Amino acid sequence: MVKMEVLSGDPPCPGCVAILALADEFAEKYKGRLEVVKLVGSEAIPKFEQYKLGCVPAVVINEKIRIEGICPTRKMLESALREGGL
Amino acid sequence: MANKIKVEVFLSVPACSGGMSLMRLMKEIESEYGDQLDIQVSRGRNELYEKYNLTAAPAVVVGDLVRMMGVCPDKESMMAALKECGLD
Repeated sequence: MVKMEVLSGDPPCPGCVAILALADEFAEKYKGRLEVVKLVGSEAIPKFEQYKLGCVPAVVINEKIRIEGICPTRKMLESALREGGL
Repeated sequence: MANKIKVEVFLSVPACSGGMSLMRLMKEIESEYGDQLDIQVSRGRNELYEKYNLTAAPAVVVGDLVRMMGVCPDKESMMAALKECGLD
């Protein structure tokens, strides 16, 4: 099972809104193979600090930072997940 | 202080990339026009966020008017908003 953590800010920027929607889409698409954890606002702070992130939106796959500060395209997120073993 | 232009900046928690860009821009503008501006920064949701009916961060309110929401403006756009409120 590949784990994808999605960190977003609150109040949300447009990129954070988009990445949360994308996370839901991917959770449905890869049900059973992908664990999606959405962390929003203050609940994201512990992981934000743990991963030493600089900004959101961010995607961490199997504890490796893959995307930071942008909302990826579907294609880019698919590639990142493939790199992560999906 | 009474004659300064009030600029309220709203950022998300954690900071988004647009919010970080906006803060860099505001620091640049403050270094040039700080004597005319009263810049107040809010992080996360608060009563002002609700008061202005903001729906996205980052946002900039100048003189009690929402000028930008969900986007980091370029310097020219920000300066235009400030000049409309009396910046010399």
